[in-house]
Amino acid sequence: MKTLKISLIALLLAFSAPAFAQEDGTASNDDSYYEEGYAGYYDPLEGVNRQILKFNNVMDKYVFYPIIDGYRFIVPSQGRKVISNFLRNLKSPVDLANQILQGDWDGMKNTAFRFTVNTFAGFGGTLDVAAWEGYEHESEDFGQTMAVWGIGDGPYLVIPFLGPASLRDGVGYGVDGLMDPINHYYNNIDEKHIAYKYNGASIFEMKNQLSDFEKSQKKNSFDYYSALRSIIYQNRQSEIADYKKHKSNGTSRFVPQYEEY
Amino acid sequence: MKNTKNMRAVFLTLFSLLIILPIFANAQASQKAESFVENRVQETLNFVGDSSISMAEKKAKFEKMLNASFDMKTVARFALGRFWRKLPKSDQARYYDLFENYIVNVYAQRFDEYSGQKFNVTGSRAEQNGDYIVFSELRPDKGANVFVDWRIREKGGQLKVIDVIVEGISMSVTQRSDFASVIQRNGGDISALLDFLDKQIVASKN
Repeated sequence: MKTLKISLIALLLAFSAPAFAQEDGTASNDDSYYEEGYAGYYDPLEGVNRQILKFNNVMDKYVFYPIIDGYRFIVPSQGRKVISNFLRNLKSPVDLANQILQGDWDGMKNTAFRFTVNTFAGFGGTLDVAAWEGYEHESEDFGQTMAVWGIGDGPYLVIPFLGPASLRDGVGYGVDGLMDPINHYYNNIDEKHIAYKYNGASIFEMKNQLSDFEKSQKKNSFDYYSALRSIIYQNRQSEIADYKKHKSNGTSRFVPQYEEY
Repeated sequence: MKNTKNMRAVFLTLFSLLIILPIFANAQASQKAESFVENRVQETLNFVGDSSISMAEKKAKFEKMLNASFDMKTVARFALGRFWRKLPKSDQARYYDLFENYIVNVYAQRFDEYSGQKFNVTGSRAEQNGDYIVFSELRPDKGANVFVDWRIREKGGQLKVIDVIVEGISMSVTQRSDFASVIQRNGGDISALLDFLDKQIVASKN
């Protein structure tokens, strides 16, 4: 039984190794993303990805955006802020776990402080009191943790309904869900439907925050697929470099390379 | 003995000056870059947010500002990336022209999005290749600050913007992959991109 487990793990590793071996050291200021623009991304499934993006765009247009418009019409902006703060505060344990795994001591302090202050002084996390004092939210996930460990992106994927992510980050989002104590709790007390609703709300909130950006990008790029891919990679790079941590103090912020010909 | 001590002191002073002077000069130059960005952006926001000015006039002012403050040729070349070398010399002027028009039209569509956000320069640093990065933020009344960074290069004694980085995303890098993909998907034909630019400009004017 034990040997079976070990050989299964070995098999998995063997399969994932070539995919992950594409690029390493993503945490450093790596030029390779910027060199070729189009060809510089590892996107072996481009044909399929483009089809899925087309499908997602249709879903956006006829399902997600109308729902978001309705939500914004019914709930005033202050209320939406409260909801987004609340959901973000609930994710704090996942942020913290990832910062521990990354050995990001400053990040841990920031997250622990934010969670305590916002939960107690911020009415259960509905107000982001900590940010008013300069303790800004830092987004962490297991994909970033793996990047810090030196695991490369692997192939670029467009996931139905959810959107684009590299294989590493897609796996990372899954692991985040498994790590989340809220999922554990409600699965254990046999109230799975609450866990589903919670995850659904998180995904909806993510779509809500992305939608304005997506709309303007769809309008202003010739090939939305490749513009989006470039943006996703750049965004991940700056997140992995903990762009936000350096936000307020100005001069150490991460800036993409400027590679000329 | 005394002499060598003096000599040593002189050397030490000279040596430390050698180290300090460039740092000092750098700090001064990056100060200059900061106020350059501060002034140009403030001027631009002033006319963009002025409701008494017509859209056509705003566009004209914006184009003037672009030519004065941006190194548009560098930006345009960067956007073509490795395809720049494949662009026939005879098409260069046409491409520069189309690119500038395209940028003006893309950003003119966004003028309405500006609703009096406060603009602040927060710092700067010198890069290894001699560029400066100026860090800034846009502060809306409600919601989160937007962080905007500017890549500045000195060209013929004048400071010019060559890249704008919004929340860690470089506009130039994004444009390059968009352009490259149009060319690639048309079998490496650059004139396909020129046609696209042409169409986009016409479409946004209607």
